[in-house]
Amino acid sequence: MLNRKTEPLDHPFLNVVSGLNNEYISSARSGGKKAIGFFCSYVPRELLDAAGLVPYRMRAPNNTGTDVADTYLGQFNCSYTRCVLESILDDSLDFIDGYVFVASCDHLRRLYDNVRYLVKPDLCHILDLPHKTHDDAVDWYTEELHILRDNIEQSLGNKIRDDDIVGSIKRTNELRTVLSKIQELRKIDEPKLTGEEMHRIMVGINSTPADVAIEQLKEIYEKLEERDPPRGYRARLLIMGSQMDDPAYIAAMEEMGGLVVGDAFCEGSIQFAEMVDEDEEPLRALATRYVRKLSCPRMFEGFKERYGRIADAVSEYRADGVVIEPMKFCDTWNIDAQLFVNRFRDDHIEVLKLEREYMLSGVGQLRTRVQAFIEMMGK
Amino acid sequence: MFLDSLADRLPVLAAYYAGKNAAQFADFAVSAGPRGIYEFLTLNKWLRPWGGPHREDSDMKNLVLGRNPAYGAIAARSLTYIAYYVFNVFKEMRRKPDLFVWHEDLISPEIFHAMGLVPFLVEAIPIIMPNINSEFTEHYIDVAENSGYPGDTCTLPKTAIGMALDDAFPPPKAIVTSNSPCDGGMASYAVMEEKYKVPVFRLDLPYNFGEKRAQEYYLREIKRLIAWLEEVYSVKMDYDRLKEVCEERNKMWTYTMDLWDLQRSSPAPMGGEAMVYGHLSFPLGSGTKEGTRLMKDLLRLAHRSVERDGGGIKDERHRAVLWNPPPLVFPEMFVWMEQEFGAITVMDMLTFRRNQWIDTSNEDVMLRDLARTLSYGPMAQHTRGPCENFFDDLFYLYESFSADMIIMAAHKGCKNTGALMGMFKELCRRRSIPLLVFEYDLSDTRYMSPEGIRRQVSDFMENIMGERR
Repeated sequence: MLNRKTEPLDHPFLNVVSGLNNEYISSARSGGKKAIGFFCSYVPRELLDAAGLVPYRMRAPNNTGTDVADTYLGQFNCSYTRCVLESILDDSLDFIDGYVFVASCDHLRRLYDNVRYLVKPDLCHILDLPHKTHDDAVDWYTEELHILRDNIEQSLGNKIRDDDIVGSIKRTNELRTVLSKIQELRKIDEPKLTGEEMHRIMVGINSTPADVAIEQLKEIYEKLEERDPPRGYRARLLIMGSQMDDPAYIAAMEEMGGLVVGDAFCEGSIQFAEMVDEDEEPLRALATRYVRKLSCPRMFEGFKERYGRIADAVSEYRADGVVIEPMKFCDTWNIDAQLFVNRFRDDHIEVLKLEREYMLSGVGQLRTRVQAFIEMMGK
Repeated sequence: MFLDSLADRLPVLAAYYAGKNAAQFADFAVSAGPRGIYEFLTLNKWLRPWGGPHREDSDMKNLVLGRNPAYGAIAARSLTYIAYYVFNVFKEMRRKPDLFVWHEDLISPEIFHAMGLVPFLVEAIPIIMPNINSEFTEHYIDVAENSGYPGDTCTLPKTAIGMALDDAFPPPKAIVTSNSPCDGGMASYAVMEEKYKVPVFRLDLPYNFGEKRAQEYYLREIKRLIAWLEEVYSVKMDYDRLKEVCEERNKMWTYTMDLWDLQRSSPAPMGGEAMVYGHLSFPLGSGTKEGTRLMKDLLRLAHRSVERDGGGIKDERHRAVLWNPPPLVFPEMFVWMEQEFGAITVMDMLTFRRNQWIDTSNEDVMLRDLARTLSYGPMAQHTRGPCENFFDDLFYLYESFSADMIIMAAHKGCKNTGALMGMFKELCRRRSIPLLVFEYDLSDTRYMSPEGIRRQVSDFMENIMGERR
């Protein structure tokens, strides 16, 4: 068990995750800004930021039921899409003024259709993300970003100048730089923060404007440098998988003694920290970074490279084992997860596959499996 | 003609086509010789359960009996084409083993034929075999799931995964696949790639594939595919040959369009699984003389069905449009609906496709049109892009084919169309269209038995369509 005597990291930014809305969004909206919900790590938040909008990674972890959403979606659609649709329909997300989707998977493509049909927001855009990463695909995605820019300008009246995008790229890169410094504190012998705390930071980043997040992260970093590290963990874990935005999931693992040092899932810090080239034409720079970032298994031909990057992260973060957490009904992640399991085993890297629902459930079972995994590693 | 005279006597007709299939095997056996047959059986482990136990009602005669003669002949002729395909692929594979290429079901084979390759549609066996033996897939589904692949993924690609893991197929030299029609199908090829460690090319079809710039991107993908094939197989694309192949395809398409025109008449000449089987000839053999011959035969028989038999079934009371694939494990559903309720399925999602004509006047235009035909492949044209692609065609077909009901086959593994179910029901209600949604699994009766499907259909036909059993 992690040492409970370790002083909890006390910073208001870590509490952004507590509700769907937060003070930073409320403040921005009362100042006339609009909050735009986005659904996938392939949406360049820089573009929304450049438009003077507040990018908000859509989440709805507190749903206990999805009764209304289930009348529209199928019983085999992933619980993320069902929870989000439910929260849109019951107005829990009524502070969101528009949506940007990515045609990343069957579930999200159809969620886009349902949101258009049921809500009819002023901005409801879908980015056509290619499955490849060659130059032609980057060109294609650059055009997609131009189309999104035009749509934002026409639908919301927010003008986006190239200089705005350059400024936003610099801002977001600065955020990534601060985040990377925090990540370094997870690679050391005695990591300075828990995985749960890191995840709270990530949800905060994805729910607030970049300039707010930069200041908050700088403060957090200073606190971490002074902080006594959490002790008493038995193993260091790296988590990978699909959409997760509920720190309670990681907390349940850490209660069993598995300190999460690396997070290579959709909303995790490892893929977020990849920088955008500031010298390139801004929209192309964004397209390049997003098309070629640590990929989701929905991308073609990325398995070998993705495996290599995750295996490198295992060494870099000195993880004892990997937990793969694909969401139920996600074909791409669930098939990919098994391929990862096979490769990890071939390379003698300890691995646990934990299929899960979006909302935290079966905590007892989760704890038992993580505990067994840690014991199996001889820790 | 001999075929037409047989068509007057259905039991004889069934026996005739069964005999044709046996003759095709005999032809293959003679050309292969004992050693070839041994190799064939060794490489094709999937053939072994063919002779095993299967449902009594799963037999060709059930797809023929009870229908008017020409309609019965259409069903049997289509199945015979499929048998031809299987034997011919393996005959060619023996002749040109180094040119064997696997391809996915949304990639029709014109390019491969023009390059002298031997294409094998991987999903052909998982599509065809459960129609003959509904228990065929179970072993392979279990192999895939016991290897850690998910229980909820569509059982069609999952059967293919299981077959690959079980070494039931002849191994490929290279694989060509795409992102159509769904995530499950797309992801299944990651398993194939890991299993066989061979080069894989994936065609990347944009989401809004109908847009001009999407078509241009896809054309560039097709060109990249050709260059890749040239490199992997050390062969050159023969554009004169491609022109011949595309023109053959155009002939096939012309017969198809004429067939659909007839299909609009009431009573309809044919429908149900026979339509689906017949149109499987596009992914299996478009651009081949045998594929064209099949569509020509189907058109001739359809004319005969209308002109001589007075339609495909004796008492056509309902005309349905089917959306989503029919249950592969229960093709007799359509015969049963025809006989029990006078309900014939006049058009379906796997059959209907748009933009299939290829202008062969020069290379650039020909490749452009070929890319377009691939992007508008059946099912993929409805599962990709916004939901308007899905609904607009559906309601167009409902009107255009004078249907009085829509059947939505709610396949458990289809997350894409499952997510449209609420909209589907509301849009049909607004248009006062009777909608039957029945739950099933495409390839696995353990999820929903044929009896379970019958019960769902019966309830709808009795309660909504006013039929009495």
